[in-house]
Amino acid sequence: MKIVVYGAGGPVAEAAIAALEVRHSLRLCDIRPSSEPHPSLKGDATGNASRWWPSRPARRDHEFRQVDVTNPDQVRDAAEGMDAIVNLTVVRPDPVMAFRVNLVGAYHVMNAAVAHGIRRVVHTGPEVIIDHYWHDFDITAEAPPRPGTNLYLITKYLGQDVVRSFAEVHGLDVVALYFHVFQPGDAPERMKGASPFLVSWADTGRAFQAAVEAPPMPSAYEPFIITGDLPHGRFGSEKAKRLLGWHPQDRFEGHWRRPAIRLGI
Amino acid sequence: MSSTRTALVTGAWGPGQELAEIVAFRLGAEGWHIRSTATHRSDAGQWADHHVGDLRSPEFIKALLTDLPGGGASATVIHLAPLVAVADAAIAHPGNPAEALDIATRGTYRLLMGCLSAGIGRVVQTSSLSSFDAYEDGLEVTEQWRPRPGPNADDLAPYLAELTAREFTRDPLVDSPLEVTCLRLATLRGGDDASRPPTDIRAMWTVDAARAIGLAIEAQAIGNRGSDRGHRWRILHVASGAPEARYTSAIAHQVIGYSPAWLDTASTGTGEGAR
Repeated sequence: MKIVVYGAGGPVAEAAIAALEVRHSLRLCDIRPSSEPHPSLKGDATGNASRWWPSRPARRDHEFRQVDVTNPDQVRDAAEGMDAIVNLTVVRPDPVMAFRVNLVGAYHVMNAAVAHGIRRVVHTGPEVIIDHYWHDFDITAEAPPRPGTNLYLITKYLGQDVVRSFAEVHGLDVVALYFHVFQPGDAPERMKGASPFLVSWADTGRAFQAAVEAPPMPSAYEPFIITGDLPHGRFGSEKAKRLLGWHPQDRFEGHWRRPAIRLGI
Repeated sequence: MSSTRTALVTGAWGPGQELAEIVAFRLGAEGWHIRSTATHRSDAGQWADHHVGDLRSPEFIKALLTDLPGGGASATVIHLAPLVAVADAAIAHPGNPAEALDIATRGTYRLLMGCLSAGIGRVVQTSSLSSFDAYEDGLEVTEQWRPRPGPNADDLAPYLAELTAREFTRDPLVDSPLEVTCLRLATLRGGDDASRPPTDIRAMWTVDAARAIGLAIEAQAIGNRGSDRGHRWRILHVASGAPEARYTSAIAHQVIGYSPAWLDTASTGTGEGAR
């Protein structure tokens, strides 16, 4: 399968590419030139990058295009001849570009899908179901989004609705993967302050592989919670298992043990 | 009536100008100070303290919301700009209508952030009933139906502005959430003859839209949110009120007393027949 990946320079893309490049032909697109790594992937003198960010054991070269997702012509041209789209573009804190990338960019990507007859689009975003459901359990991907006024969350939420509109009207087959926290599967401790909505980099990659290869979805826009199997009963990945055939392998069991047990005391 | 209340009318040019003007004249007659804004100069300068600028600019918002007569607490924002975003984009970004999404959503976001800072608590926002045109005409579509906007700027710009504003009414991290009434309007038709409903089943007279805005402001001042189960977000469908109109205005009639002007002059004269 030929897959165009928008926003191919970031850490999540690195995990996705690691899984997708094993069986598929990729066209990688990013606003940065391929020679300029994403700031969060550069690492530091302590080697944090190699320790915390995803790795690509089967790394190989792919076609690269420098694409600004806010430019409709560039986005459309990059999708030509592709069988599927993976949209990983995101801007978090910038008050202008958050709207332009997360919302207008999503519009351009979906327009490109329609223009080239590409039905399978893997859209991505943050969960928008944590803060407002703070005291709830058994929260599913179908819970109505509640982003609040947080710039990052509200712009991605608006982008989701743009994608949904394209999918429903044009009969596309959109798999929307919602994430929260990523860690290496062998991370010894959980990220401070993180909610129990956590997935390993390796399982993240496998989620993209499943999303691209899964059979047609029941509806034009299907959202999925992508989290490991965690014991809290708050967020679950049952739907992803059932429809995508994705089964997370990293459970972070050590993160949830009482300290005395963890230390063997 | 006190003259220390300010109505801030956005989108007061182009397709929003007639509605802005009627609203302004009516409120002005009741003693409101009228401040208007748009991306372009317009006749609004003749009837309002008109500010030309881009709602997406934090600096412009700050200036726009400074020195409001009566202060922010007594001000109401009448946010017509989401209905004008496509026209704004056509001028600023010819051939790229998707820019209207940025104009409508980021403009709304910045404006409402400014309202929080300025202590402005009440907003009446306009949107479009076109988000329901995907439903077959035989269905009685009400506020209880999910919007189904088409993937085009005309539908998405006002709809996404709705979603943006709604978050400002319910974010638990906001100390004093806004109270927003969103009026989804039928397609506006100008003209002087509002004594009969428009023949287009998806259209309404601009004077009736202005009437609904005035009623929404009055209802906010009364402060009864019972019909909205206590929520600070109120959504109402406002159309021509004609029996054959595509969209019913029945809830707007119940909640804010909306009835079109033509019904007042019709033989029934009671307004009870408003669809």
